Amino acid sequence: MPPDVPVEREITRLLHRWKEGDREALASIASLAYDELHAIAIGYLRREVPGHTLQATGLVNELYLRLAQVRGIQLTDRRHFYTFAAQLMRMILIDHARQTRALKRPGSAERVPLHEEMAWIDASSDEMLALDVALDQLEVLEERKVRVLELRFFLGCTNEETAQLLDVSRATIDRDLEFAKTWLYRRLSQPPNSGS
Amino acid sequence: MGRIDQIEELFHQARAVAQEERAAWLESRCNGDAELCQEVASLLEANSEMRSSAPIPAAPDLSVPTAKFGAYRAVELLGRGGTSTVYRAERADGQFSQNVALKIMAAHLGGPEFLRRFEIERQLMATLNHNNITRLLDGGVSSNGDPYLLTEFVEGEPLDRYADSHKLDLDARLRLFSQVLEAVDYAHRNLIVHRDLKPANILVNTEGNVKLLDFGTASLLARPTDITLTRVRMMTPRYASPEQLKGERLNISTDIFSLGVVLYELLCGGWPFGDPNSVLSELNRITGKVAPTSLTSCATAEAAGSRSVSLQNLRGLLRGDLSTIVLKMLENEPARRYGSARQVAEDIERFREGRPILARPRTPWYATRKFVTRNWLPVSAASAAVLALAALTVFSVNKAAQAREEAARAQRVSDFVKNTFLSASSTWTSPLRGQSRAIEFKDVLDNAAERVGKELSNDPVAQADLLGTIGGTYSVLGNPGKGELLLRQALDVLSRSGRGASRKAADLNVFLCNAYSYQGRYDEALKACAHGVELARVYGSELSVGAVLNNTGFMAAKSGAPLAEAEKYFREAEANGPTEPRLAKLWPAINNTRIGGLRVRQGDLAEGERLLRDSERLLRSEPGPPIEILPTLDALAVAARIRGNYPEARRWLEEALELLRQRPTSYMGSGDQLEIELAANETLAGQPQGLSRFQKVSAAVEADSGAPVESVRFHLLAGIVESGNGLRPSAERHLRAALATSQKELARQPADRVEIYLRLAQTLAASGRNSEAADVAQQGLHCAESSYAQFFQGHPMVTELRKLGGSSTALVNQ
Repeated sequence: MPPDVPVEREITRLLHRWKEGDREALASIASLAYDELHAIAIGYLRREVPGHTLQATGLVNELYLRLAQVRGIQLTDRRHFYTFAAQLMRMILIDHARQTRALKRPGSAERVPLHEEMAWIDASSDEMLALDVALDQLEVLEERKVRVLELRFFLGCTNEETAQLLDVSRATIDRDLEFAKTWLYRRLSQPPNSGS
Repeated sequence: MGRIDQIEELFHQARAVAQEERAAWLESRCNGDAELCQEVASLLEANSEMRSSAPIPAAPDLSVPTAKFGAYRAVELLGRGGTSTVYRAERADGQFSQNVALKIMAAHLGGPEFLRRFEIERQLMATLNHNNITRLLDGGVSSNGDPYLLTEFVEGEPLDRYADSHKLDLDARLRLFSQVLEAVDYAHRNLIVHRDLKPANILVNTEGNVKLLDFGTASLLARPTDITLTRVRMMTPRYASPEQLKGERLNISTDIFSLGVVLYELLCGGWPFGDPNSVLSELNRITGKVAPTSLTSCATAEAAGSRSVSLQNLRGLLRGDLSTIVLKMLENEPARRYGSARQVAEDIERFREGRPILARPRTPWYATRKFVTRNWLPVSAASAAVLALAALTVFSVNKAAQAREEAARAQRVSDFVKNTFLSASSTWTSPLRGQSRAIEFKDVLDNAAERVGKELSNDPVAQADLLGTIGGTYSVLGNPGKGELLLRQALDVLSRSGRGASRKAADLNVFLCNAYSYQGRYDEALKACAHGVELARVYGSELSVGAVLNNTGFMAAKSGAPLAEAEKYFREAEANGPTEPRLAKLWPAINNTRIGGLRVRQGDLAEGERLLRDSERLLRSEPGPPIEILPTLDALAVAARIRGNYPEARRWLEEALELLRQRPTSYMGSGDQLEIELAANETLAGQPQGLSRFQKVSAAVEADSGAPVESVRFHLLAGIVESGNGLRPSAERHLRAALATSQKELARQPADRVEIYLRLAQTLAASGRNSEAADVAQQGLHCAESSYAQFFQGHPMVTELRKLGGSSTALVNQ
């Protein structure tokens, strides 16, 4: 169904603000386009068989099309689009985890499947939420590493593609990932209340 | 360096140090900063722990449902996908041991609407009865409420794996693929689109026969009520068409595209759009800006090995027609693809038999069209379609020649078009003269005109395109009536397919405008052109809006519309320059020449000559100078004649004629017009050679002067030459003919009559018919007063007319 025009206009405005560095705008966009985006994402999650990888591509296709329909948006800026998509993907997954946790019976171990490379986290709903918190903490220390992680794991870009998108060398991305993964692994292995 | 950067740097460096030496190494680097040392050590520990803990894959669920599905029960799990799970099944009563495939739709797809459509589609699919399509045996809803399908069980390998494992050569691959095409064509004729064609859905059984799976399943699953949720999952992006990726309406062209990808991979072993595993290359396709990699450069030594040929031979085989066929299947625009799977099969058949294929190679066509666009203006109203003709000929010559080198072909085409254009234009000047050159192309044309209606009925855009080209060609080849017919047919095809208002329609109206003008039907010509302009303003034009406007201005001037109206078109044309760099650069000069000429004709000599001089300067600053300077020189000559500076006019004309001798072009016809113009100026300058110059070409020019504007100009110049050489009775006849035609056909362009009155009055005065001369001079003054408006006072012709009127009256009164 085509989106309402006023919503489109609002999204356009917010996207411009987001591009100019207003991080709040992202949340506003997500809430405006939420119903549709959420339905799309959940459709993907639901259809994934446990143990399979989440096909982020399909979701991103949808997202791209949804945004491409927003008149006046220049999606020629690849970097902005992909980092945006990755962040949105993260938001949706976290949100889904939150809802799942609210619904699930105690003791059930429903898994939120992520990209296969994310298996080292082997994320349950609780772990997803913990991951989200940890990512926020890492972002305070090193923002770029979180962008790299998002592109790499929430969107399924390869290291090479991530490097291209962020306009840094492949070696830099490799190093970024090694460090960030280690940092997160340690953070998530610690008991919830201990500081870092 | 921030704290975190320091930590990270040490972390990376330490990882390069051997495990047992790390602690000491770290100690030495931390300079007593115990906290830093501990942080890095902790991270290093976490790192090795992380690396040693391998993820544990979830155990796959291999269980088989116990429910009954019709007369069958599931026996073994074959595969699981996002939308369905497939089992091998057998009859529950054990009566026959026949194997069937059981496909259970994913539970989340359920719902009353889905079940209703499921039923309709199932019945439709049951009607498919083809050797190469797996048969649907049964289907329904199980006792658990799961919709399911039972189909023939096929034991075989996917198409691509089969071809590679058997090391099939290209011919064997093409034969297999032809089976696929036959099956798909059969389904299409039964109104069923597959939507998810890919090698995994195309099995080759042990007998080497193709079996297509999952026909209709994809469309069955595309619920109209829930498009966003399902559409992306209903296809495999790797084989999906651009329109499918965009979520647009689909038809059989979508299957043609997917088959194009399958064929591409089957032939060269690689994906046409880059790395198939890359998220980015897939996403980039959505924009539709990604062009397929050429078949030849995709071929690798490995691919050659599994095709039982050398790499060099494989590349050789993939070049040319096979590329043309595959690229036509992979066109972004559905309308540019083959109209049916059968057409693809037929072209492949032709290729295999070594006959010319019907698909036209995109590159030369494109190159030709670009050439036409670039040269639109030089050939402007008179002969744009000569190029269209050349393009058409190139097309057929190319097919006949079976050229194999794509790059070289584009070059040859470009050369060929240029040569055809030049040689055609040097012997051929006007359709109204009906030169025999047309014969050479007649067969090509008639054949093409006949074919286009039949073969392209599925593709209205291509049909209109070709009808337009052929129509335009007929127009300039001396049969504008037939041209007009085909062009109107082309417009009809467009409007019947709902594209009556489009870019293509804009172009066709311009061609139609020319067809009318060749028949001397200038009012209709102007109408078609003006309509073309309206469309071009909204939808753009292959020829650029500016070019269309320029052409319309030309037509307006010719049709006898007020000169100011024609001028408006040129002024708007000037503001809408084309993008082609060369033309864009010359654009102000091209249009200012026209505007300047029109200003001069309306009596505004100062502004007119200023514009003409500007154009001249711009054109001379280009190397050559470009051939576009011809009309500028011609207009400057007219202005000089009106000012009474005949030697100057002669110089302009001599330069123009010299240029034309060096570089023949149909831009200004054969140059005979210029000869007559020169003859008139020589005569006015008192030189006797004017008469013989005139007599050499006058018959040709008179025959060629179809348009009233041309006819009036011819008679005026003839009158000047003959009058100046003592042939006054004949001169008078010419001048009176000019006057009559102008009054009758060009009533709304009165300014052009001023000079006719002047020359007639001079002729009469020279014969001593002073009273008549005074009358005519008086009429000339009236005419000038009303048409020159503010430019009346001080205009050289007005001064002449006053002088002549005065002296004639004085002689009468003597």
